[in-house]
Amino acid sequence: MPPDLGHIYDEHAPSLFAFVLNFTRSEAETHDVLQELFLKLATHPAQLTGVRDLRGYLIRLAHRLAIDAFRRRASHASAIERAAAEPVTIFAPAPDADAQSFRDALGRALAELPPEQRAIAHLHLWEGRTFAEIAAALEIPANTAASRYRYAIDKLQALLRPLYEELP
Amino acid sequence: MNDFEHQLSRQPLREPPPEWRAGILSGDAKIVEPSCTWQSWFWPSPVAWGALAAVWVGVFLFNGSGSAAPALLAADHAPASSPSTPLYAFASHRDLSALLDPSN
Repeated sequence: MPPDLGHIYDEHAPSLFAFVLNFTRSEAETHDVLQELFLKLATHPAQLTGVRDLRGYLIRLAHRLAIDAFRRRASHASAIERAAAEPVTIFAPAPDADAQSFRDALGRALAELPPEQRAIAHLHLWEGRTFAEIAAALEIPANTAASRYRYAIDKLQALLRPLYEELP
Repeated sequence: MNDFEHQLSRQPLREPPPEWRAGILSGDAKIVEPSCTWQSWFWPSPVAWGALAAVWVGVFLFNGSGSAAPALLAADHAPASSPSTPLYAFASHRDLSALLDPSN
């Protein structure tokens, strides 16, 4: 029985969107990655057979596709500069100015992290994934995931300390 | 998680633009079509296709078994026809007639 892609999209696309957007820092690439991911699911529906952790499986697929997108982009230096200059908002609009400035600063701080650290921080903070699950999704050792997460948090804390201390 | 990490994780993430859904999901059909076409060609009568394939294999085996080989070999070694062939035949006929003629 073919998978219900509409249901999978509704269930998982918001998380995948945020993860890929945070990783690639490009809306256009995020769209391409999601499109390619769902095309793969449509053309090879059997790959979902026996998958127990669908979210984890989709994250791994999205991560691989995003890395491919990075490699394609790497062959065009001007595209890298364009993407770096592209302002990307990964957070929902905030109800007040203080919260909005914190979210903006957090977005900028995340952009300063290396992509792999950013991916791990994202999956742990916003997906609630354990380091073992992150390791499986990103195809790295669990210790590496834990240490990269620690580096990422230390850097975010250093960058955001002034704003964070002002928050109620 | 410490307080700082909790503070970060409480920041809500953006949703994908609603218009993406239709575009991304409609992209499926374009890719699914070719495999459906391939299947629809073969799937309605797999036994018939299998039988046809078996007949072809039989024909190839029969051809390769040697029954047609001598004929092909003979054709390869047959003298090529040329303008001199009728003259050769005529001369042979004349010589034969001369030998058989008792008046000589």
